[in-house]
Amino acid sequence: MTRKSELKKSLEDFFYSGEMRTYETDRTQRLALVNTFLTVGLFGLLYLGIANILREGYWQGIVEVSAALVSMVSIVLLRKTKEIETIAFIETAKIFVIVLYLFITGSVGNTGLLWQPFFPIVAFGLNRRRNGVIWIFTYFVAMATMWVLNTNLNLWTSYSTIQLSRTMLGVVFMTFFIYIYESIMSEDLKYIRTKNNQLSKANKELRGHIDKVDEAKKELKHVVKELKDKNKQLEEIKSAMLNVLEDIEDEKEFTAEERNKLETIIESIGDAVFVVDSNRNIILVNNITEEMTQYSKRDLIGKKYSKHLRFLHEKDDTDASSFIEEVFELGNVISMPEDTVLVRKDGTKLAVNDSASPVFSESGDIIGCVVVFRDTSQEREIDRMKSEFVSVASHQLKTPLTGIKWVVESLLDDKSELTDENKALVLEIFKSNERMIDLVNDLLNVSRIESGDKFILDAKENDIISIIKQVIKDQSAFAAKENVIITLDEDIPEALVVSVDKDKILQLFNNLISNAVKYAKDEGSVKVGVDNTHEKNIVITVQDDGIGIPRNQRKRIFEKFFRADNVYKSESEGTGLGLYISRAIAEAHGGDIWFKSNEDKGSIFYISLPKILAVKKENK
Amino acid sequence: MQRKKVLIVEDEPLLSKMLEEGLVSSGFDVLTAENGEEGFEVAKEKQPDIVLLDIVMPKMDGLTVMKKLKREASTHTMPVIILTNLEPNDEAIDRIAKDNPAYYLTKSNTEVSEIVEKVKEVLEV
Repeated sequence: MTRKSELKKSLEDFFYSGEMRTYETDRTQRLALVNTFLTVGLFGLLYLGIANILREGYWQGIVEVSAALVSMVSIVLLRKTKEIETIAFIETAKIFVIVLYLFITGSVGNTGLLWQPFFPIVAFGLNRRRNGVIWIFTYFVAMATMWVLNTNLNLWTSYSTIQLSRTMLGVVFMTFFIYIYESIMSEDLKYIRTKNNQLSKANKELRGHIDKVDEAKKELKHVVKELKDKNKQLEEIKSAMLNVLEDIEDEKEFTAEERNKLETIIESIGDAVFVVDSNRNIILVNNITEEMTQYSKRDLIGKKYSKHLRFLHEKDDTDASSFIEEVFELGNVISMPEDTVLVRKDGTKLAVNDSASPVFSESGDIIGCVVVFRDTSQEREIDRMKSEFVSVASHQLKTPLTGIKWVVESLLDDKSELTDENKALVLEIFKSNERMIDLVNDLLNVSRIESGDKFILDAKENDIISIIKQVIKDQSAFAAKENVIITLDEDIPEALVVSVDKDKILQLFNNLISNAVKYAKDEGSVKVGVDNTHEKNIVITVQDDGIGIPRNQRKRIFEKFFRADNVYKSESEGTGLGLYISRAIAEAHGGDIWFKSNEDKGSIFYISLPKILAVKKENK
Repeated sequence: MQRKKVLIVEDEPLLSKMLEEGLVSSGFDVLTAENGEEGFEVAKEKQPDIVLLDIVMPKMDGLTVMKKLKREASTHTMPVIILTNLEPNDEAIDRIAKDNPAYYLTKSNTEVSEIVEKVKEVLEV
């Protein structure tokens, strides 16, 4: 602000009492008025005082100047405190002092003083109208009194009638004027006041609104920020989801590829394949299965396998599908029975073979089963032909062999006329012939074992003790010839019933005991024992005191046609197939044969047979 | 005492001859037939006391002969000993067993003298 405008402002402030606070209109207005009149009064006093001092001397004007000074003090105080009441007191005091002075001195030459009370009185009168009227009235009365007194008592001659009347007139006029002015002013002021009030109300409201708007703006900002954040989050989620979707798509594609691969592989397997889940429902079928079973994939998939696929035993049409259930039970690969046939849609039977395997989940549970099979009609046919051929061939061979046997028998007869020498030769023929017959029989057996005929056992309850006794009896002639005694252990049970194929077991024991007799030393013994102490099987022992089996050849003892080296030392006959066949018989029953041997001390052969014959399962 | 008649039904001439010799020298009368058909006729006609029956024969095999003998009134109770070289566990044998022959013997495992013994046993001679 420049000094000029500062001055201007100061003057304005001086006159108009500073800023107009709109919500203090009344007071301000009053202050303004008081200020104005006091100021005017002040200047008037000052002027008159100074004029009197100049014109008529110091003492004339000093009172006025002093009064002016007091006024100045009042004004300053008014400005400072803005309290009208304080000033009022001072001015009142001043007026009192002036009136007192006037009365005391009777000096009324200085008209300024007469005027002097006028202004503050008016000012304060305007402040409080009612009081003001009283004030003015009092002043007027005072003046009037003084005029009366002056006129009638001649107390003060300085107050001329004209002066007093002028003063009174002036007072009346001024009062009137000020009253009017105030009214007008007050109308204006009232209007302004009202307007001001309205404005201030409006302002207040506006402020309130503005505050509210500010708050709303803040809220909005806040909300917008939140929205922005949320939006950002959503964007992030969206992009994450898109990523996941992409991954899923990739996985799907990969899985579909893998599935295709798998299906292609399964379709290109040359055998029939179908897969069953843990509920025994078929979930996968390949084309060859369709071909072989004559059921379409639609027929089979989703249904229990037992609905359409029937596996039977060829011989007796009994159910042969237990191998699938065993896979679920045992978790092993289980082979179909050798004689399995599959019933096709048109009712015909197809020879099939192979196996079923378990499918494990990652946690190790069995969740399904894969069944693989192939058409074995040709294989079976070939097997049948082979068997038949061997049967026929062996039968055909036996015919001439029987012929020789019987002719030789006749030649060796008592009635024969051959010399002893010749008889000896003929005996050799006989022995050789017997060997050939044995060989043919054994070959037939071996052929059956090798072709997987696996000895279809005719197992019945038999007393093993009586079987053993019969064998011992049958071998007794041979034993006598060999100078060997066969003994049966004393502490064997009277009878022991087990489930066996009698013919085959006879064959087995005949084999082992004749072996023992053969290899027992001259005047030696063969001991047969039965051990029934085990829970699930019995063990028969055949012990000889013969040449034993050399250590380095023990592994091969059960091989076809194998004979240990030390055998040649003594007389020996036999086909070399006996142990091979005996072991096959034992194994077909679910048992086993093994031995212990000491060279030149003898051997013990052990035969274990299960007490209850269980159907053998093959675990690959 | 009247000599017992034995009917040998066997297609192999050598085997038939040896059996005959053995039986004759033990005091039996012997009838022979070369095949099943002939065997059945002779059995009906000549009424032997026992029949030694081969299985594998042309024209009619032993099993059929046995069935017919069983059905035929005159031969219904005639004892039969099967002489064969078939393995005991062949299917055919199962069927034979049902018709209850007196004996089942494997030729290649049995000497003539043993067969004669069996005949004597069955006829309780």
